Amino acid sequence: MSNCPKCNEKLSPFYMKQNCPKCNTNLVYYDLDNRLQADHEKAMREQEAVERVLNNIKTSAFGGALQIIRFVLMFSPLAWMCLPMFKANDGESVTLISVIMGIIGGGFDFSNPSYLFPVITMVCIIVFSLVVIISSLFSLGKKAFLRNTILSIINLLVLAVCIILTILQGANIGAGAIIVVVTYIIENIMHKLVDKKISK
Amino acid sequence: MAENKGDIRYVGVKETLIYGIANAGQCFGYNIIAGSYLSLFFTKVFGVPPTAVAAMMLFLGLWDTFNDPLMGSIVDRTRTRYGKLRPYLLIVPIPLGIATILLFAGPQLLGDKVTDAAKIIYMFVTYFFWELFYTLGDVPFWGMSAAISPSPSDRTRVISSARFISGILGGLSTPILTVLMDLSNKGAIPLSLSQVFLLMSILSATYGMGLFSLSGFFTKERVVQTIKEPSILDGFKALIKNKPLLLIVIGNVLAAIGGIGGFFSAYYYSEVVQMNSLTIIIYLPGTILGFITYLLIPKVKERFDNRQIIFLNGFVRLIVGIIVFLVGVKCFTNLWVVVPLLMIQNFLFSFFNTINAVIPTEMIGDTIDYMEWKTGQRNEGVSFSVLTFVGKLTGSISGTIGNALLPVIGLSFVQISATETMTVKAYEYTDTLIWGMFTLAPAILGLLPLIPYIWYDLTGDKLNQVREEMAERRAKLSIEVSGGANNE
Repeated sequence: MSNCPKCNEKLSPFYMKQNCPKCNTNLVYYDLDNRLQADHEKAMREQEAVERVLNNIKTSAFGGALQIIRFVLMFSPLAWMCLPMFKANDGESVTLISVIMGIIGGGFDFSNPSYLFPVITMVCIIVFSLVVIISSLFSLGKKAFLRNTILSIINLLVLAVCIILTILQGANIGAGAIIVVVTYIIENIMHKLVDKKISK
Repeated sequence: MAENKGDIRYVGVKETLIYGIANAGQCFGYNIIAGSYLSLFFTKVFGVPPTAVAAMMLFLGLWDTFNDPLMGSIVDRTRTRYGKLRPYLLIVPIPLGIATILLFAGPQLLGDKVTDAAKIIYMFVTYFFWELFYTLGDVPFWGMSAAISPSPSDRTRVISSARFISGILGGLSTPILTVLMDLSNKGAIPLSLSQVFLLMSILSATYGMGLFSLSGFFTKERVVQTIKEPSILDGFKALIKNKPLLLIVIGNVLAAIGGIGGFFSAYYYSEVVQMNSLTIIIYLPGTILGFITYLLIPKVKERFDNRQIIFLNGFVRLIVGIIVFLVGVKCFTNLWVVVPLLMIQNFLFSFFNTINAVIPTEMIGDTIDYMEWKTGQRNEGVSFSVLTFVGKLTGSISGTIGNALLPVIGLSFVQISATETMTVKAYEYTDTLIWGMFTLAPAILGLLPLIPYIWYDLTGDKLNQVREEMAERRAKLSIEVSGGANNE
């Protein structure tokens, strides 16, 4: 239900005609010039807001060498997961590629915990890394450093728990998992360095 | 003043994004149907003879030449308080969603014990209704890209947004389908191929059409239309009188012939290398470049006009296509060679694919302004029906030619049970022919659509003159009609 903009007559949502049944005003074009002006002003406000966000992202991710290194580093776990993350209890290496190929080929043994837990670990790495990446894209602002650091520490703790649980299921830790842990530690240091640089 | 008025921004970021998200929803189902997966579904899953599928594609393709402009004219005649395009965007997603499910529900609804004739009738009826509703949604949707704002830069932004977002969200349907097909073929999931297709159609009808309906709720028409509805005949007349539009139509129809590359790509991955999900890896680098290219469009347009870009595209495709064919002709089953080769090809093509996704739509918007400048009438419906028609014709022509070529190149399917089909390759060189049809044929046929563009002149000074004069006229008109008076 809406009203005629000129005479305020109530119009049913199913009333389809262009003209008001009471005052015959063209409902599509009434006050068009002012509505276009209002749309223009709204569009410019939205554009300014987007530009502020884009500037924040630009400075946080690509504003200097440190930011670029941190940004690349945060994506690097994806590459490290292609290295052997764990060795299952039957001696087979579990990597991101072997998991994907195993799932597509239908031969992945989810019933074996020494295979299942590495998969859970990898899912956690992907999900939590994404959260940290998104958070770090907004590193301008008073609480940004604190937020980035807390999220990175949570990320590291979750990974540590996942690794311990995987080892308890009979798997052995591989080079990939160790490098991911080291990467997360460096990430925390990078947050501090980037924050110092941005604060200047 | 006139130039400034023409370039004022009216469409906000949210509306631009919503338009893109709506297109993603629409494309989610369309990508399955317009790609060769529909043909694969009918022949391999539903067990319809390929000749019947080819005949249907041809018949309904011919019907579209009349039906689509007719639908466009009906849209152009529509005058409601919600606008002329929005009512369709609000209503059509519901019947279109139902039609999408029915299209793929044949094996479940009809069961095992039905004759080929029943299957063919079911296929014809469901595809006919799907096409009808698709046109009724697609024509107003693209018409909206020209009616959403009088500003050319606003239009470029909404078209880019639509193509960009549909490339990400709408493009998800094909990889999901290919992965599910592979998992189903290998027995890794408890779903038959027919159930996989049905599942995808339900996703298209719910998620896809839900997003598509957003365009009806959250976009606005801002270009003033005449109050008096043009007759259906006026719509057809406008189409014939619009020379630049006709040249685009001829170019696009000729481009449809080159679409057989897309048709044979599905058979190449499915029947030659037997790994449908390989497409995900092969298209990945190109997809990333494709997204980046959206940022480069303004730069490219600073250097070249639309016509020059189209010529550049044709020649690059020819050279790359020939090289890819020659490199792979002896080793097209060797994934170590083919995967990087096709990755590079797609990487190069994706740059032009992105630009091509925006420019023809923008050019149709220009031809609408041109006709308004010439005759005072705007015909978004009938003009964009051409885009819809050609989009479907691409699948239809390539599907018809492709299906007709399947027996010639020696590829056929024998149904061994209700749910299983066996592939038969009649010749030793059948696979080589599929490779050639996939890589070389579209490269050579891609030169055909360049011919009509030799005479296309709605560029440079002429286009600027049209835009400037239209901006002045619209500025006056919007003040005149603001009192709610009739604009005859």
